[in-house]
Amino acid sequence: MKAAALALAMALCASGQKRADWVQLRGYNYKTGRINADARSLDRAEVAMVGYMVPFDDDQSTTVEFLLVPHYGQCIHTPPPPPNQMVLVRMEAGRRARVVWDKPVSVSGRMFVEEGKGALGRPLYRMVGTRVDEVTGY
Amino acid sequence: MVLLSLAYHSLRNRLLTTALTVVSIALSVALLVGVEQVRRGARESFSNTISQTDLIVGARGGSLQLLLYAVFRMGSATNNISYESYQILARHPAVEWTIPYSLGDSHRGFRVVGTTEEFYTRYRFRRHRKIEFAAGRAPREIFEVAIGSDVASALGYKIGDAVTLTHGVASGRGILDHDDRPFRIQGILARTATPVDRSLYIPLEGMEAMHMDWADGAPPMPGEETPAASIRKEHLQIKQITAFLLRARSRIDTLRLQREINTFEDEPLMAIIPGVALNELWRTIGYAEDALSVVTAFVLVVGLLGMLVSLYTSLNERRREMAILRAVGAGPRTIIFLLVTESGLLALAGTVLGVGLAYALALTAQPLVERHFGLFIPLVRPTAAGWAYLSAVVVAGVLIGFVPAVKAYRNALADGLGVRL
Repeated sequence: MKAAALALAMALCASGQKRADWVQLRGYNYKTGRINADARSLDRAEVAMVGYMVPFDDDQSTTVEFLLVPHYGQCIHTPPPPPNQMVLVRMEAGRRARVVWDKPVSVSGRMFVEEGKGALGRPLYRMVGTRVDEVTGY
Repeated sequence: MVLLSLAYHSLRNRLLTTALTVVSIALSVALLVGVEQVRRGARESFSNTISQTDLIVGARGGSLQLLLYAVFRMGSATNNISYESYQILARHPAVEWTIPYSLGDSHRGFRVVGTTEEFYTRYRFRRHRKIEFAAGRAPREIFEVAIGSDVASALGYKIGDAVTLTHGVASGRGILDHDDRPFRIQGILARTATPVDRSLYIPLEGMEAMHMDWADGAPPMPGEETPAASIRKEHLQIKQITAFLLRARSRIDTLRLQREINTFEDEPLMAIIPGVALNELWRTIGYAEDALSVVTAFVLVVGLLGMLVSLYTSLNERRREMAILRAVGAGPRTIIFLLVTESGLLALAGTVLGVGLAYALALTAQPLVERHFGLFIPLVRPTAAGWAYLSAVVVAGVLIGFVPAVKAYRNALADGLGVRL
């Protein structure tokens, strides 16, 4: 399991992409608006992130917009992830992502860190996705 | 080449048996392809019904139930939600728009939906398509109604007709008709091939007006009802709705809003994400789909076994043919090749015919199925898995051919050349 994740991380490093993880995203304090250097370094960076997809549309095969969250199913039974643990992914113009349920996906794209504590309607983290891959070995 | 022609002519010589074998394979292949088409049709019809909606909100209960009654007009709600709660949420700063639905009445088996202008402007299906009118306009006044295209075609209604709505959701004519307050048809919606077609749409006020003067669940006594003509929009207080669709300003707030609604203090409410609920629905139905596929596979196996039987028994009639072939020098390979080619050809012909049959059937049955079941059967190319199954049928046909082939070779030469036949 770990080996697979490591292999994936190495493959991503080789392609010049950074791997962003959920702990790093917590460096953005959504209560005070302070962003630490680690979280800020993600701004405008080409990154890959592993998480679960929450698609919205009724289309069960592909989607253009979805939320990336760290745990599957948590959206129903416990409070939703805090603002700094959600990434709003919009696929690059003309691209659609295949919908993957209950399996982690790796999303590659350009990350944007938005100022302003994530007021209503404003994500802290936004990503323009270029590709979505199902992650195996988890 | 000579062998191929030989196989072909031999098959032609036994035209009736050949035809029957091909037909039996074709039927099982058609069933296989047909089941797959219906399965995909059902999925697509279901999943293209509601687009651009982030949350569906209703009284607390099962999420599938909410999805079914709010979107697919199936089953019914256990409870309504108060109009006040609806308004609080509709004005929430994170909410872009809402479409309220008030359900529970019907007209000759078609559901009546009380809603607002928002429905005609905001509702989307198949990603971007919006509600359009085939004729007329959206209802504005209390006793105006717009009808879905299925309602119009099934009941032969046109603009200006008066319809009487029924309390409850029975199919056919009801007993408790709201006939003191008829509705006038102002619009006919263009066909959407979704459950939208199978409903009638009235203003929320109309729903309220229809049930005015009802007391303790029973209609007013004759003579005690307020005359329809004297009911004004301003006099009507909308007290409750059944469900509403919601779009957030940004989808980042969807989960937050969902939580807020699910923990709403004043009233037990529930919010579901349509995509997530639909996925849940598919998992539930998945078992039935699998069962169907298993049955289809068995039918296919039976079809192939039928081919085996017919080839095998035909060997008896063909003793002479085989014996002559061997007498003129056909070796074991030739005989085996011949019979395997025959069964391969049969399977191939059966498969091609079966696929053709399935598509022809889908094409002819499409409008009928759509009208009666609201299922749109798409004429799509088989999927990768579909192609795999079809090739498997042909391969299985070829493999089956080896059984009679070996038997034919083992039959003694003298057996076919002997005088006693």
